[in-house]
Amino acid sequence: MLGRTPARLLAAIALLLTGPALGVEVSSKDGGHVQNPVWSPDGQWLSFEVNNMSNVVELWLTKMNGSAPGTPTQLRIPGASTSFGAGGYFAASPVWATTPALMIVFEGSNPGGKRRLYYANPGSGAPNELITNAQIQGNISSAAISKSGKRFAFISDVTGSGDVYVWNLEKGDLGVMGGAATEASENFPNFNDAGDTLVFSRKNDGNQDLFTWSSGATTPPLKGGNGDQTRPRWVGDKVVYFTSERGEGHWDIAVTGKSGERVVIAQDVRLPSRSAPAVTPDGGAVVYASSVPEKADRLLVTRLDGSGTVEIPTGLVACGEPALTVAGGRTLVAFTALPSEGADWRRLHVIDITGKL
Amino acid sequence: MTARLLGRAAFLTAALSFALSSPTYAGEVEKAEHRRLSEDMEKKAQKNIWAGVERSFQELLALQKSGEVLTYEDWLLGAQAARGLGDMASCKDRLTQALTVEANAESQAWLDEINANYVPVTLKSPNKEATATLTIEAMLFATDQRLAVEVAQKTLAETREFSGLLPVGNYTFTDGTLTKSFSVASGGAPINVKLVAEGGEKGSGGGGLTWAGPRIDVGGAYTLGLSPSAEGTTAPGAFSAVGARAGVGVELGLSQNFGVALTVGYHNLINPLGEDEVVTDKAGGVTAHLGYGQLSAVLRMSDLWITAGGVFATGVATVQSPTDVTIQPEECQSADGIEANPWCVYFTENAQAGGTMSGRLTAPGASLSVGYALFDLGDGLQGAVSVGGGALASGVRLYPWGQVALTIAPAPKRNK
Repeated sequence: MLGRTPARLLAAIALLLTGPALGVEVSSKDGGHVQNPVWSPDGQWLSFEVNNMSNVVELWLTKMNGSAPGTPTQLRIPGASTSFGAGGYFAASPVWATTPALMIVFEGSNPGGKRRLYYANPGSGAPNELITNAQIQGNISSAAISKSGKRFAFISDVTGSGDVYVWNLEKGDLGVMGGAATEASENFPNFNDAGDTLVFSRKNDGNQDLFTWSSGATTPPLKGGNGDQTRPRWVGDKVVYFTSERGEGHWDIAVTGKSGERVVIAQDVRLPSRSAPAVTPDGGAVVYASSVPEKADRLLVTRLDGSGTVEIPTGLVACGEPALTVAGGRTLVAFTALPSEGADWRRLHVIDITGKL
Repeated sequence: MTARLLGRAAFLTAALSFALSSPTYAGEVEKAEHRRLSEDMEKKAQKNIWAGVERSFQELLALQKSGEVLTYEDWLLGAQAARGLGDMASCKDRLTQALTVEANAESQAWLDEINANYVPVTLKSPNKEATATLTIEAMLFATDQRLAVEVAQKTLAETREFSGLLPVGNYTFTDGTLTKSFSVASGGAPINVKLVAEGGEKGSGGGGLTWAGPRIDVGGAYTLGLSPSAEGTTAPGAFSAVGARAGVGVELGLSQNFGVALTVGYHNLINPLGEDEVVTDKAGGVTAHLGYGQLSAVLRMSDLWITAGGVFATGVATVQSPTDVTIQPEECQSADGIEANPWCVYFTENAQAGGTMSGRLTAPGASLSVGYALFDLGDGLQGAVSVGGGALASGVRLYPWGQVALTIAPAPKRNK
C-alpha cells in the first residue's frame, strides 16, 4: 500500500504531477445535495443520500458495473409517499451487513412518524422495518452490526437521553447496554471485529467522549479530552475517530488504543455529514477530504501509523465524504463534490484509483 | 288542463331524474369512502401502525365487493400491512394483485424475494390434549421472516393448525409426544406436516399400522323400500320405516390417512303393521330384520373421517301388502319356493290383497358416511358423530337409507 520509502514517496509525487483522476459522476436528481456515500462490503453496491437541505433526505442505491455506477434506485420505507415533495421524509445513515445475507440497514421516518431502523436486501424487495414496535418503541437510530451478524446495536430514546441497546440475535434478547439506562446521551456504537466489544460516544461534562463496553462489564472511558471525541470506528485493536480538541471548527482524525494513547494522523479534515472516518478495506489507512480551501480539490489517504499520505487530485470543487472500496481487483473511491465553483448541489463521483495507493 | 299536464310531465321528469341520479350518488359515496380509507391507511402506514392499516384495508376489500376498484397503492399498503403482521401469504396475494393493476419493478422484486424465501406450509397437530410448538433452528434477522414464524407459533398454540408461508430454515414441530422435523428450502414444494405416527415408526422395520382397533357404529336409520322397478314383477309397493342400524368390527390404518374397516351389524325397519286392511296401492306397515357385513375404505383428514364401502345384507321382512298384489314372480321362486333369485324380494305367505307378505330379503349395496371426531375415549379410541347413508339393491327395488350414528374408532397411534 502506501510507501514508507523514498521511492514510494517519489511515486506519490509523480501521481500528483499526472493531474486529476478521471471520475464518473453518479446520476442523481436535482434539488438536493448528495451526501454520505457508503459502499457495500463487496464493493458491488453504493448507497448515498440526497438532502434537499429543507425537510427531505432520501436514500438511494446504485449497483456498480465494474467501476461504472448503474442507474440509482430509491429505497423507500413503508408508508412513504412516492412524490418527492413529501416534507418530513427521512431515510439515511446506512450501514451494511453481510450475515446472514447482504443487506443495508438505515434510519428512516415518515412525516410525523418516529425515527426507526429499516433494512433491505439490495436488488430484491422493498425496505422493511428491522425492529418492531413490539420489541422497542420510540425513536431508534445509529445502527451497528457485528461482523458475525449475531449482535446488533442501536440508539433508542425510549429510556434516558439516548441509550445504547444491544440485540443478541442468537438468543433473541434485546436490552439496554449494561442493563441500565444512563442520564447521558450516547451515540455512534461500533462493534470490534470479534463482536464482543462496543465503542461509542457519550456526552460527558458537556462534550462527547469515547467509551467502550463488553458484555457484562462496565463502560470505562476510552478517550476524553477537550472538545468532542466522536464517531469512533474499530480498526483491529485500535479506534479511529474524529476529534475537535483543537477547538471549534477544527476537526482532526485520531487513533487510540486500549492503553489510551492518542495519535492525530490528519488535521483539518472536512467532517462528513454523518459517517465515521472512512477506512481502506485493509484497515491500513484513512481516506478523507481537507477543510483547507487550497486542498479542497483533492482526496487524501493517510496511513494509520502516520507514515505517509497520498493525495488524489479530482479536478472538482469542495470534495468531501470519501468512501473507498476494493472490488474485482479495482480500488474505487466515491466522494461528493461540487462540479464547479458556484454550483448549486453537490454530486456523487466515483474515481478508479487502482495502483495509486 | 294543459297546465296540469305540463305539471305532471315536469313532476315525472323530476322523479325520473332523481331515480336516475340515485345510483350515481351511491357510487360517489363509495368513492369518498374509498378516498377516506386510502388516506387513513397512508397515515397509519407512515407511523408503522400495521394493525390499523389492516383494518382499513379490510374495509376497502368490503368496498371492492360493492364495485370499487382498488388501486396499486391500496394493494401495496395492504401487502405492507400483512407483512407487518407476519401474514406473508396475504402479503404475497396482495402484492400479486398490485402487480396486476400496475407493473412495478420494485414490487416485482419484492414478490420474487417472497417466492425465493418462503414456501407454503401446512401444519396440523390432532392431539387435542397437547400444545403444538414450532421452533426454528437459527434465529432470523429479517423482520418479516421473524414475524411469520412468530405468527405460525401463536396460531399453532391456539388452534394446533397453521397454513401459510414460512421462511427458509430448519424447523421442529412437536406436541410434546410426537416430534417431526422439516426443512423449508428456497423454491421448494409446499410442505404438509401432520403430527401422527408414521407406519414405520414402530421400530419393526416398517409395515406397521398407523391405527388399529375396534370400530362401532350405533345409530338410527330411515330406510325406504322404493317402488318395484322390475317389469312384470308384482311385489309390495313402496314403504318406509325408521329403525336402528348398528355395527361392530375392526378398523386398521394402513397409512397416515387411509385405512380399512370390516364390520358386521344389524339393520332393522320398524313400522308397525296396521290392524286394518290396506286400501291404497301403497304398502302399509313393515318390519324387517337384516344382518349385514360391510367392508369399507376409510379416509382420515385430521378429525374428518370418510368411510365408503360395500354392504351385503340378508334377513327377513314382513310387509302389509297393497290391494293389488296377487302374483309371486316365477323368477323369484325355486322348487321349494326359496332363493331362486337371491337378489329379489319375494313373499311366501299371505300374498293376497290386503294381507301381509313375509319373506327373505337378500341384497348387496354400498354405503358412505362422513364423521367428525369430537372426543377422545381413552385406550386409543376416539368418538365421532357420523352422518351417511347407502342403498341396497335387490332385483326388485332399491332400499336407500340415511343414518345418523355415533362412531367409535381407533385414534392414530402416538410416538413412543
